Amino acid sequence: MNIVSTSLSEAHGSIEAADVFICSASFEDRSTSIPLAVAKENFERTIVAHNQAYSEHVESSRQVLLSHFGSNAVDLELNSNAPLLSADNLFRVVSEQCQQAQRIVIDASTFTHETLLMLIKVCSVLLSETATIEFLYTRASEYSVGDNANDAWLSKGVREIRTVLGFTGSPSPMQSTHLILLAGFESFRALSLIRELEPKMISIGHGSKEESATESHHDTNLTSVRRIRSMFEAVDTFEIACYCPESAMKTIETLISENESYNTVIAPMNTKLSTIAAGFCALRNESVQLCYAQPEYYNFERYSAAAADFFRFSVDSAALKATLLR
Amino acid sequence: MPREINPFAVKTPEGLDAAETTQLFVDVFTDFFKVREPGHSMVNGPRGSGKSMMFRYLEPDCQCLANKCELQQLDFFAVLVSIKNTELNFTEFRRVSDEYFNTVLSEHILTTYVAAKVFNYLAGIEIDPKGEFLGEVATFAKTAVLTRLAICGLPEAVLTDETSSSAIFKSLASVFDIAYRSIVQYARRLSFSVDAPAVYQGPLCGYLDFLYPILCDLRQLPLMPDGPLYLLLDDADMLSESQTRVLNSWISTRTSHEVSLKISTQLRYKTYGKVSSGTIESPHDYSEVNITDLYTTNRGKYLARVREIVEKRLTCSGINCSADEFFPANKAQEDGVQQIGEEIRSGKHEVSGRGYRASDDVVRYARPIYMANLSGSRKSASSYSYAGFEQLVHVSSGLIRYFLEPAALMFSEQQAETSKVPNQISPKIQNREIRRMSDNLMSSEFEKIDEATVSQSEIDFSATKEKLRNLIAALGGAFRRKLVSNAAERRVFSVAFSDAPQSDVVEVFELGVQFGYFQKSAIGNKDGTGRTTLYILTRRLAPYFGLDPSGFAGYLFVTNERLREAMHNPSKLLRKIKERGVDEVLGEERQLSLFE
Repeated sequence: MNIVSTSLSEAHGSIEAADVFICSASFEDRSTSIPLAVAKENFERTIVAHNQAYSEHVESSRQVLLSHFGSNAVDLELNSNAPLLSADNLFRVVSEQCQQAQRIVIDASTFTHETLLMLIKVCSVLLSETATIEFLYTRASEYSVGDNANDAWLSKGVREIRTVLGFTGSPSPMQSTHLILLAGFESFRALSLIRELEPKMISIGHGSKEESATESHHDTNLTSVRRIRSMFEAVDTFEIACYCPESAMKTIETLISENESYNTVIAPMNTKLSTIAAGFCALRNESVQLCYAQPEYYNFERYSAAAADFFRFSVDSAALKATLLR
Repeated sequence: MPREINPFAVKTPEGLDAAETTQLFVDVFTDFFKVREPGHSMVNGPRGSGKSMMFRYLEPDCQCLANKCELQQLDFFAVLVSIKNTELNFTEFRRVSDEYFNTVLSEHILTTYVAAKVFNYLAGIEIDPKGEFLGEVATFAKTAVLTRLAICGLPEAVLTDETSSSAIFKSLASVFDIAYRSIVQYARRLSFSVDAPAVYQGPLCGYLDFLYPILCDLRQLPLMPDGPLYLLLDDADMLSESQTRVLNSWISTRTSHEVSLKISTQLRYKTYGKVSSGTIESPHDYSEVNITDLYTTNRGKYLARVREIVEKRLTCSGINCSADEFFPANKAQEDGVQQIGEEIRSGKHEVSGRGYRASDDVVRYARPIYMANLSGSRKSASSYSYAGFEQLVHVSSGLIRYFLEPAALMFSEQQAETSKVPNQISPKIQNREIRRMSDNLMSSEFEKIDEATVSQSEIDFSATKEKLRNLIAALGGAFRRKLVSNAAERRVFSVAFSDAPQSDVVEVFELGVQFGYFQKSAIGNKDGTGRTTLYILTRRLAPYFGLDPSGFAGYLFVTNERLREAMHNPSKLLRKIKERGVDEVLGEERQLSLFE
């Protein structure tokens, strides 16, 4: 799982041909960064997902993407307020478009954490064993654009906390809960999760200073973590690689194996790359449950600014399926 | 990052051992005696009001320690079953569209979950250390449990270890654990079964035909006390609607003399409907306990409780001082308030509506006069300090969590500043954190009001939420004006309707009640012909609006029309008050005032 960082200006020549390209329209600018940079003629079909729950904020991006990919585009409706609808549509579209595919490219940048995890699960079930999946991810150069570190916010409120479809885990009434939170700025969502799940053990992961976009993000993260720690007992913290799924997976799996006597629940709320890592961990270990705290609403206007580079790495579908059979 | 021990950190009661629980527990059963008595009960209160702690304390290991007796001498045997959203309410179950099957599945998962918890608890408490009752326990396991499980569709269940009573209970817990996990497996198969939903082929267990008779047989074991068995179902709001209806059907059964269901909710219980038609009702089916009702109406009792809780926590952490010493007030400010008190006694301050005793006037006016002297602009008003144990207790508005959470943050901040374990929290840090909490309540916490949890499903949610925000802003501003005025009663926190309450106005208040921005009580109506609802603004907003949190006595009678004006155009109403004065706009005649 070798991860590489590439300039967006090189995307056109570096992303090889694939049967299917999957991307998601969004209120974030980076939803179109990769799709408009790659050579669209390299893809036989493109699936353009959009979140109907925020239709007025994503419509512009959706139209740009559908128009760009033209007759090769397949529209995929998702809805944060209706996880079953999202799952059914994902399953149907991926089944129709990808079952015979040998190479799939997924721009994970602007899916919600929940739908990205569902997409991974669907791919692990439907894709042929010989297929490969290349994940792409545009980093954000800035979050909460224009706000100082103390005023930065990405989302507010928590509408619902629920298990991610396909990742029920295997909880036991005889065991206590170990909550692994991959938190970034979203301390409010983290607090809501802790309050609702009342875990006996809490592990909060945060990015290391070297990885944070700027030093101030790292300090903001640590302040949030410190405040959470002051309010709850049995809170441990750990560093996690937010931009290297392989390393992130190892960190998470170490945590899980050190605490096997607990019901492990992972709530990924950091970068999509670390969310992919959490998804892979849950595929490899059926006892792990993934859960999602749906925000009330997002900082639609100033959520992020797109960086000029993106990350890419590939996995074999067989590897995903192999973990399922364990 | 090194671990820090914070005496005010949230402690998950089910994770506390008996010794720590009994050390920390403050006996509230004199306030809520029905919870201890046989019979079904619903204990309602927001998160952090002490429900889980109360339940944990009822468990046998704590009861034996607290009462210094053997288990068989207890009046009841209680088992805590914490309901977790992610262990019962799987997203996959939303696929089950057949109502009948949904009910049957809900009852089965609830039954196996509870059974696993009960036997797991029994396994963990060394209930029969000498093995005196091994034979009876083994017979119970085989005839009462496994035989019934075979009838329900699980004939292959066996005991894997019969070497001790604990081992037998552990074995039974594992049997139910496996049964529960088989449902989770079924849920997993439902995940993406788009066209043909997976078929469930596992066992099916219910309450009346399975769990209840098992629990009755369990009670008959010689190692159990004579009294009833209590199932303490904590956070029942986490159940799905179908599971909630099943639980309500359990409540409606006349079984409480053998098995009493004690259920805690956070005021978001999904329904009181049963599986069949009808609803459960209090007191016919269960007794109801509302924790915050008591502590918002009896603040002396609440203050005493909080002091006890805080001092116990400090002692357990090795910090030997009183709550007042640990949370000192701003001395200069308190000296200032005291000085004004002396001036009132000496007649220097003209105060209208003089109390019966001079000390009444001091209590009523000294702090408001001090705060008024600070005011003139919002900036000056923010120099008032909310530090001091009693002020912090008042701000917490009858909910212990709202004291402990800011206290935990204060402790952390103090420790960060001084790099050592604090022996007191500076007034500066107390004031800063409590103001931050209050500001958050009007900003990010307000956004927590989400449609999915609103109990009034018919309302236009967005519009009502906006009206609530406006109403709070208007009332808070009005109360502030009242505080710094020359009125007889300056410390006002509440409003009641002077005319018949209109539904569009009530629904806004009720949304506020549901999310903790208002509390409800009742007073005699304006005409003296009956009673009406009193809505009390949470004192957690006292720092935000610059109000005196210790004041409670004053309230306003307000018309629907004026409240609508507050909801739609708070700025306009506040401008009127600012221009014409509180009394003129409100038309005050006595303690009670009217919006005109």
